[in-house]
Amino acid sequence: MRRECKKARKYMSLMLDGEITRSALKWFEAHINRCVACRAELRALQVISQAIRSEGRVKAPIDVSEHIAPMLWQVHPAETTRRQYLKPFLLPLAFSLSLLLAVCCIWVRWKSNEGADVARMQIPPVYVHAHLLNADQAQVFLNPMTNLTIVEASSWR
Amino acid sequence: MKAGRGLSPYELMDEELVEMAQNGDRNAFTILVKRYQDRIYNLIYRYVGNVEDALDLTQETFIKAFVKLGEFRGNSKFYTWLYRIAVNACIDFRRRERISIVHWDDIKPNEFDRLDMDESMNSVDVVGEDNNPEMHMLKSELKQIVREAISALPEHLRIVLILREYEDLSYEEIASIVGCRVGTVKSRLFQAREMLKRKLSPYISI
Repeated sequence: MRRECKKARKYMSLMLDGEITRSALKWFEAHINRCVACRAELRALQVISQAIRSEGRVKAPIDVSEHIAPMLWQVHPAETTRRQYLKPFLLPLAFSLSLLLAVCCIWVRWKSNEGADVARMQIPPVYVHAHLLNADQAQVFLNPMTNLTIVEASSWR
Repeated sequence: MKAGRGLSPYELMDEELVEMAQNGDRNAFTILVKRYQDRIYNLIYRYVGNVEDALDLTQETFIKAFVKLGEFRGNSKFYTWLYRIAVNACIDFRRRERISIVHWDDIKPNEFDRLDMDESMNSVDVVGEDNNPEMHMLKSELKQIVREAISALPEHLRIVLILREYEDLSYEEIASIVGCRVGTVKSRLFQAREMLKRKLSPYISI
């Protein structure tokens, strides 16, 4: 099969559904006019499609709505009830949770700063020989909350 | 059941009826069933191929829809959501029942080997301008053969073809029902038609 014909076959399905773009349709029509094989292919597809569509819609042999009406009283749309019940509370709940989270973050941050300040205030600095730390001037603090040693050097060499 | 704006409940839009049904109004849901029962039945009947199973599955679809109505958020049209439930019911049924499938190889050309389709047969509708009983029989025969060929298509191709050809849904709607991309719908329709054409070519002479 030629490459052009292959392309045309792909357009045939879109053509049947009326979903082909204008530029593609232009190319397709030009191809169909000169290619006998593709014309026959398109015709076959049209015949099949018409055979399917001509059957129309089969109607339900009974009124399903009447048939299932009593059954609807036996089933409980549990999801419906729960969702409907929760719906008015969802937005305020989400807002409250976000607010609580923000307050917690601020509090944690404030507490950690406070801890560092307390450590700095309460523990007297220990002066060490700067040359041991390879710095011009250095102070060593011990943070009692974290038990970590903090070294402050004016400038490292 | 009260309908706003002085309309009869039967004149209400789907969205309004759905909302009423979500609030527990079973009569509103019954109107939705009346509105879509033929479409859903047709889809299922084309898929399973017999009246009894089609009726059972149609009822099952609507009951499921009622139970799951709370999950419907209005992101798609109500009927596409309903179609999705029906398609899933069909697939589940196929898995459960293992219906005897007509295989491609079972469909063989018979005495109606070649139905000459000239230009005058543009519409394959039942007895067109020509009231020729023989032609009518040939057309009916072709329809039967086409039906069998469709029922022998692989499931993922068949459902897309049924939704397009029998239900006349758009590519976007089919994609939403089947849960795939529009490109996949196009490709499946192309494959389904190619398979049908290949199988039916002995019967069609242009």
